[in-house]
Amino acid sequence: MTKPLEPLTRRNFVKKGCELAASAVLFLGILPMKTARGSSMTTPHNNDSDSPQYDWEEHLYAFLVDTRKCIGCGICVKACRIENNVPEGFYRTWVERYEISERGEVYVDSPKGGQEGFTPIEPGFKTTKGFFVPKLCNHCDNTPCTQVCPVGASYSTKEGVVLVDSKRCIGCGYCVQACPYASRYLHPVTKTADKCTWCYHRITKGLPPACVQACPVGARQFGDLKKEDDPVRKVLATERISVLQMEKLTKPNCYYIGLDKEVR
Amino acid sequence: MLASVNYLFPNDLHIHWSLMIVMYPYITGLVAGAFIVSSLYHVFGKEEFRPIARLSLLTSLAFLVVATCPLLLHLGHPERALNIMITPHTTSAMAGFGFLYSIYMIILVLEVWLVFRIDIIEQARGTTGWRRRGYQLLALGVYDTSPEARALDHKVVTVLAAIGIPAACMLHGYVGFLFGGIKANPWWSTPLMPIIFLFSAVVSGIAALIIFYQVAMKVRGEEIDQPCISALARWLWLFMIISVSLELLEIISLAYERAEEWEVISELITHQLSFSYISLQMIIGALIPFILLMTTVLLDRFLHPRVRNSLTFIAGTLLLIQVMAMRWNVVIGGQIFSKSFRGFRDYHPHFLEREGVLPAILLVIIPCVLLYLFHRVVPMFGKRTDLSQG
Amino acid sequence: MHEQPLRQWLATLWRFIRWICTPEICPRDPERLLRSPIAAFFRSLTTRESLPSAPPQDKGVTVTSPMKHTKHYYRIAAFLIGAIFLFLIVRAFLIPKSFGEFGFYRADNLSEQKRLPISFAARGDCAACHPDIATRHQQGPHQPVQCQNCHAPLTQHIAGDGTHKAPMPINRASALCLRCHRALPSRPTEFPQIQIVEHTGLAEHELTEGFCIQCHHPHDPRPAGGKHP
Repeated sequence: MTKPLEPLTRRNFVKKGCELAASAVLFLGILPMKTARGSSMTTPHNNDSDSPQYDWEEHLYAFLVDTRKCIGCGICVKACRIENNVPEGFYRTWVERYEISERGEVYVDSPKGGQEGFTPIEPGFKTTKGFFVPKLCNHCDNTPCTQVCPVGASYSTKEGVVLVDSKRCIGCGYCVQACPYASRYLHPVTKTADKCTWCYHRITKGLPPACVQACPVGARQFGDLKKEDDPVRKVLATERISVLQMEKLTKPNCYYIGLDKEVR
Repeated sequence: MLASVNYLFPNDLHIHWSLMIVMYPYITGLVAGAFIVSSLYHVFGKEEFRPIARLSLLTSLAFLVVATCPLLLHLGHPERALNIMITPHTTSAMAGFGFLYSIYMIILVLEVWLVFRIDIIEQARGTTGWRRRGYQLLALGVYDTSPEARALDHKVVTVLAAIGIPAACMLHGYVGFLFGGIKANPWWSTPLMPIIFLFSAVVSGIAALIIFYQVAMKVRGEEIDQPCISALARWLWLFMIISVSLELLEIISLAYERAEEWEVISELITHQLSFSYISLQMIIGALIPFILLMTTVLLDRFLHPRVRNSLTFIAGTLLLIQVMAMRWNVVIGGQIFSKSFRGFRDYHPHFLEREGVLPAILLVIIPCVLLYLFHRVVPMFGKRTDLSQG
Repeated sequence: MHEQPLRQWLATLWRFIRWICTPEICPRDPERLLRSPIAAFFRSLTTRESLPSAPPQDKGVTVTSPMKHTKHYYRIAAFLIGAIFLFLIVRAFLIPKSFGEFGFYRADNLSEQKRLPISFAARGDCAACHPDIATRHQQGPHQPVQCQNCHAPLTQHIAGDGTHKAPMPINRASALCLRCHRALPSRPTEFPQIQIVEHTGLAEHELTEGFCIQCHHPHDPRPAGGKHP
């Protein structure tokens, strides 16, 4: 013992006790914060043999929706349901139909999320402007949903995909409330939050998301902003684009061409 | 402008936060409210609350014990509930619940234990067999009833009650923040939300104490302490005025600013929530008790005890309904409109489901039963009103 | 369990124990040792007290050592500390192994997500067995429509090892064609779409199965002869 001994008092005893408690609390805080090995490692958890070459550092995904091209066939919604086993009545993606009159009257609908296609309707006015808007999770940079997840079950990956760990999710529904785009739901079977993953199991193997592959008119495009010659990257760089609910500042990675002011 | 054509986002067909999430702030509100009344006596020396000092502490404890139940009933995976303490996500408001709840629980249990310690020892002396064992266990095997120990206990109780006020405010203000921090929902997203929750919590706490006290005295056939009742009425009147003013302020500023969301919110208040908001929360639950309490407070010296008891009892009951309606309007109202701002869904809880009406009723009855059991274990009223006085 | 923080924490604990063992806290002199707070703490846990049969006579507050009437505080503190330690230990075991590796989540979930089964095979995969249909399809205006849209995901037809699993469904319903080609005001005007009654002379519900494909072969829908009946 080189340092002078601390005197024996109750105060000192309590003080030391508090120090121990504080260190315990600190321990409590830092324990899960395993130091980021990610930066030194090249690939995340390479225990899956399907995609041994995949390196998440080499990708940064973005989704582009060209509403001017969408024909409202709803094949994308159906494809998503099949690919991801989405339960009936819940939607990882859906298509909205807008019909607007000269006087600004609006009709919006999305029967069954558009998965059976659309049939003509009588909006009660003469439609002068009409369009379809496909919607899906925006995979925001500034995610309101992962922010509120109390247990770290929802998270953003390095490639910019927002995922949910269904083995960790407690099913509180806070993320469902926090998403301004209503792209999350509580899965009726697993009782956990569920959402579009941009088909993470496909994109990590070089396949496009099911909805993008199914789209017959190229209204949905999936791009990688870290690739030089990526078409989506080119569109984002050269054309006028917008995002949904810009004022919420969630910084979506889902970009839209041809949005109307009536679209939220 | 977003014309209303009743279009809901396809995922917005379901109400995810249902009756249990209405009950949760209601119960924690009662916890915080009752505790603040007990602190009025223990910290601020409001002697008129002496008859209910112990009742209020135990009420707080009884409701705190069940406060996690509505959440567990609500969670999709209640068995994973501890995850919020095992890996608490620091950016999430909800992750704070486990710690705030535990800290508050520790403070409250300590305070209750110190307040009742002498009684526990006395009870141990007066009983035999397993009951005596039980009391000895409750006393943790220490039987120090010396004046010095009492004086120390009294000091510590005051400190705990003082720490408990911010802890209670945190526990409940935090519940308001859970809603107030959701920018996706204009009906929730306001910094006023925690404050509204806090004040309405105090209102519900005082109202519940008026009712519990009067009922307990009726059952015991004892006199209802009039200075206590009129003090409760005064505080209740003050807190309900603040609470209702804040609730109105929120609506008025939304309406006056004519923000985009007002289109959907005005529709919500005047149609979907017209009964629970205008009738229950504002008229039956606020205006009428306001008049009743004003009468009690302003005409205090002319009132016959029975009139005063009845007036405060009715006002208390109505205010408990008001606070319940307010919780309902916030929690359910915030989900009735779709995030498309173009349509509304409907919500009617079932009676016999996990998040239904029956569990909700049980959640109110269980704390009352607990309170009775507490009373069987330690004297809640009686001559030695505060033994920790020393 | 995570080595680094655990080691840090154990080091703190060790420092605390060493501090407790210093002569100041834990005096070597037995008489002083018994008066030290550490002794009071352990004494509060070990000594059993019998319940006095009568309350002590109130003799007024007498000046005694402040440490003398704090036994119950030591006891409750022991309970609290025990509970917190128990929680910390349980917690350390319950944190998933890969949690926090890349961020505040369970890193193993990444591979779990990646391993989810694929239903829709890559676009060109059908051509491996059906080159004739694929060539025809490639030359017509339906070229951008993948086979699996109108049929079914390839994985329903071919198993993972490449063997035949089940016949591919063929949907001849007119509704399938109308999904894309029924005239709707919201569709882009340049996209080919039909007013059903004008085009066929029938109402939509009167279109029987296979009606459209009488003239338009789905793999190359350009009408033979270039005109409609």
